[in-house]
Amino acid sequence: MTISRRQFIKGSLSIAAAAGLPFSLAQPALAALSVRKDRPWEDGYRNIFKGERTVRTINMPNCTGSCAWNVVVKDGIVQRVEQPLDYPDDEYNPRGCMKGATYHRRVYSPNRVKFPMKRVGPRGAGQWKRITWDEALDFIASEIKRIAAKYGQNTIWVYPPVPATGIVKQGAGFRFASVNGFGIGTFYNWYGDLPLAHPITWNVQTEEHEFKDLLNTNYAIIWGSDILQTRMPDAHFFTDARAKGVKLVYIAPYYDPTATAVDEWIRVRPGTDGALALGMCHVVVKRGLTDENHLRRTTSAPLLVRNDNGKYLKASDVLPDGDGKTFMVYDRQAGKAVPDVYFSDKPPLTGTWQIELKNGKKVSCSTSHTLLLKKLEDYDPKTVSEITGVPADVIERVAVEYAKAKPASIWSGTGINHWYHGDLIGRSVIELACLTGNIGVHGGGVSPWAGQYLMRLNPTDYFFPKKNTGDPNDRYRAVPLDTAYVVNGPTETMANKDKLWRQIRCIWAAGGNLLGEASDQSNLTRKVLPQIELIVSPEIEMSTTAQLADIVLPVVSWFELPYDIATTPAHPYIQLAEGSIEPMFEAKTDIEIYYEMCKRLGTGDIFKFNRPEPAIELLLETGGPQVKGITFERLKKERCIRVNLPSSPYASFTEEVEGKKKFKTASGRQELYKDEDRFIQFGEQLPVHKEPHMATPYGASKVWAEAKKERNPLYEKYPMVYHARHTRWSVHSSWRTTEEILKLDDIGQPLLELNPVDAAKRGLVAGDWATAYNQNGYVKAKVKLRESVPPGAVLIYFGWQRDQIREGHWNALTHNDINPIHEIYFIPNVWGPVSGHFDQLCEVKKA
Amino acid sequence: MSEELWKKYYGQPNPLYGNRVQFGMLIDINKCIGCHTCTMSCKQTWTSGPGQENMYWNSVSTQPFGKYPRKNGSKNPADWDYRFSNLYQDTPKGKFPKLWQFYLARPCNHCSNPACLPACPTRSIYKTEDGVVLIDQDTCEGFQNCVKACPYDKIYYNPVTKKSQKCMFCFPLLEKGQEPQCVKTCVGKIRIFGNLMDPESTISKMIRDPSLGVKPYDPETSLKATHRVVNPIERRQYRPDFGTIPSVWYVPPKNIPKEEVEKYFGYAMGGLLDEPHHVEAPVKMKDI
Repeated sequence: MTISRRQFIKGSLSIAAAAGLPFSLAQPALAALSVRKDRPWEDGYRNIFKGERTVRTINMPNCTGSCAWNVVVKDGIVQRVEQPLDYPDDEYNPRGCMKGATYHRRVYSPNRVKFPMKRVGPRGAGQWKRITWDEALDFIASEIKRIAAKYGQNTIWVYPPVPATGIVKQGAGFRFASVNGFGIGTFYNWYGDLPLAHPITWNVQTEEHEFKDLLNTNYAIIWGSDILQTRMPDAHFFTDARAKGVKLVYIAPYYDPTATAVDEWIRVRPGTDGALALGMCHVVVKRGLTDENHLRRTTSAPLLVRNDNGKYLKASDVLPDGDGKTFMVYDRQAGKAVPDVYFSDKPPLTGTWQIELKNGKKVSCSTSHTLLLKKLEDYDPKTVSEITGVPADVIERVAVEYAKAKPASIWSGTGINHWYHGDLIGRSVIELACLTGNIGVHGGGVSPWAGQYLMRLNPTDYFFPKKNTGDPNDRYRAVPLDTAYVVNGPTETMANKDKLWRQIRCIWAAGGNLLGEASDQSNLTRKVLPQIELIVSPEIEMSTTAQLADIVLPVVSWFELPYDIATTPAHPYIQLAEGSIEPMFEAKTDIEIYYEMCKRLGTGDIFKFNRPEPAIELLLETGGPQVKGITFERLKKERCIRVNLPSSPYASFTEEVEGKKKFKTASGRQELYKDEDRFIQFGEQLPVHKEPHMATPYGASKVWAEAKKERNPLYEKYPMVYHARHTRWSVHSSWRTTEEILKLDDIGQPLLELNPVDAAKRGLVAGDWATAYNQNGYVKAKVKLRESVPPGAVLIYFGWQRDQIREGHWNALTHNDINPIHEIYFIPNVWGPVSGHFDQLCEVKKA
Repeated sequence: MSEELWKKYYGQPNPLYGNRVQFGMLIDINKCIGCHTCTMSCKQTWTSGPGQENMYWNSVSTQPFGKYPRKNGSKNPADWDYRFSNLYQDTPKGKFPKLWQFYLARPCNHCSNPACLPACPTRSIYKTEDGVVLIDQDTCEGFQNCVKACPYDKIYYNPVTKKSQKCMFCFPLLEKGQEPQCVKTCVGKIRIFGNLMDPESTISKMIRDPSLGVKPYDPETSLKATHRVVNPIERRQYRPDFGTIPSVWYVPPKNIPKEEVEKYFGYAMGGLLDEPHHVEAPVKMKDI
């Protein structure tokens, strides 16, 4: 190669002389400088690549990326990682950000947990004793037995990892809790990632369009989701769409990185996004831009609602032999209520009638759409502008653009979900999409994109193994206890409180940095931790949880484990992770640790697996239709296989909206109107705007007409909204201590980011030490000033470990009051308390 | 870029150095997500050694305030501060609602007429037949004249090896038919790489005809590349007023004021080495 190149350059000189000199700097003598016949040094750089082998694997943090990497190994040491560029669909190449590109730095991090360690000083003092694996496991087993005997088996509580990020190793945590009858926490709702509006409206956990569906959209609203920082592998779908002429609108209080990459950025007052959505609905309705067919066929719009009690009119109210499950619509010709037929074109959308009940009484009933239209009267652009701070003409224009640009999509993130009333905000946004018929169509939809919750296979047989009783439903089961109650304590309104609430006594922090990342740190450290008698932290690095634990167990990194599989909602592939190096130090795989534990607890035979291979086979065999035809052998060969999905790119509810099947809700329709008692009690049958629970200068948690007359007493003391947010530099607390990454993050330490106006009022300049504090706690950090932060807000990018913060904790200021609406049902990770940690006030002073 | 200009720049072999291939890059700033994956891939491949702690051959910084290195008014490289390469990240200029910022990713420009090359007293810098500018690490004696000469500050002095080092477009990968690390790994899909002198290459077509970028364009056949979409805006070079004819081309940002585009990607600065924007109070961090 090199020889031919040297010959090549000889020829080129003469051509240069003949070609003349187009450049202004005409100094032909310089040409001589480039004649280099001897370039042996170049081989030094070429030789870097000699003797390498590559292993195609995936990174498995909880960022929804699930990105592929080629791990380059030389002499048993990972040199670097490179892009494999082998996703069957080229739209997904390349995939992986700078964090994936530096994962090997975490593998060789000085922070690695090297061997099992037992705490010898007080918790968090950093005094450890190295012990052997046998000593560690025996000690934990004896402690667990003691605690279980004293308080009950279900007070041993496993904090579950997000299972899709390595279904074998993370799922092993569920299996471990199940076979031993331990307690298990929740993750998706607890993080605040669960968009409760989805289970409320559609009775699904979450439904999202594949990012690739952006190729089909004509208009995209990115609503409170800093795509550029938090969805890096998929952000190009947005910028690509924009390059092709699709208008992107970003709605957020901050001039975030995403705001720089869109056509229009709309600054909204924090927590009032719901009002903005309803204002847009108002405009859509007033201008006659509603998609009436969509509403009539697929939503709760034509269903009759009793005006006397706010409940849906049911067949059992009207017909002698009617049941309580059949919903009713009005039949104009017959002049009476008739049972609803899904996808029917007949029922009127609006109207109020006197309906005769079976007991002879007459009751006034309206279609739920009538009530919705009435509600929307409160949200004219002028009022909404008052609430949100968005100019009325902008609301009007964006609403019309969105409604006319069919299909138009909404990509909403946790920015509108981490609120006490996040469910209302989400429902308002969904209402906008329903009114304009943008649900169930390619290029439409409301996609929240938060959390790697989606396993794309049915893991029941692996998570909850069958008992040998012959009954397929008789399984070993863990006893759930929502993480929100573990951290915040129980509430009066908690669902199934008698059965589920117990003070837990042992935390097995299976795959998450619970103690470092949990909101309400003040409560957690002061009230909860003293009651916990054993904290076990299987960890890769010395995270905050590991630092505060009683026993730390070294776990292998993703480059050291034998195999695993992972999926994500962000792309439709199931992928194989394969290790490339030997386990470092004394690290063991998660599944091996659980197996050894179970053996000591007498459940080893039930847990069964100590290697991932049989677990993968079980998962794929019993995984259901989505992974039909996908085997371990195939995965080993192909590495990355598309799961079976109804459409490509995947769009949600396409079959429902075409009338092929009903929605999973009680009425079989998209329920914009809800009639559970608690919705009626709080006046939330239909989406409304309620002021934030804490972070408002006005009447907290009230509708605007009442709220605007009041002042929030808390706001007088703490006039700034406090937001601890995701950054591009970490996946929660992962990579936060990686030096290569820290060096690129401004000055590499926590920063309180303020608007210069607010700083001037408080006598702060950039680089000052300052304290942000409120009734819950405080955090001390340096100040950074930028106009991106709206006046009246404090932003801190989060994820810092305990030893990186000078004083306090970035989550010490948050406390989640639990919204009773979130407690109507308790289905782990589907309907439960959703963290509202953006709903918080603070004050900042010079430290 | 007009056809005429392309002919002048790339229509014939480089008259000074004779290379008949000029590898170059097209970077769409509108699509940059500021993730620094390019920086990290580069760093993990080339500059993780001693003396390279703060050396980023490819750097990304938020304009207008992000500077790498920060020279603090000095012309002596010994005074330049290479730490905190991403200081003032996401700090925009202006007042609400008129804020602007953009991410500027900068590898070495591998100029057609590099300023560093003639500055080298030991003749260690040369342009390869691919148009890549390299510093011979065997003969470099670390005089750092190139560091001073490069108007883009893209040559770094390694105090441990006592040599000057710089981006080399991953030439060993090019020889294997792969794109450089920063291009291969660019997850925002903003970079296009290829031979500017080949009239048929994707990059030279895209530079000449801005409208080509809007359609998913055929991948380079010779390099292992993924398809990328680029905004249909006239391509420019970063600070062409320095006169070195950089081989890295940009799609300037749409969201910033027109006159700012001219400062960064036009001749408005008139070859002045002054940066278009200085960090000013109250944004300026003290103690750094």
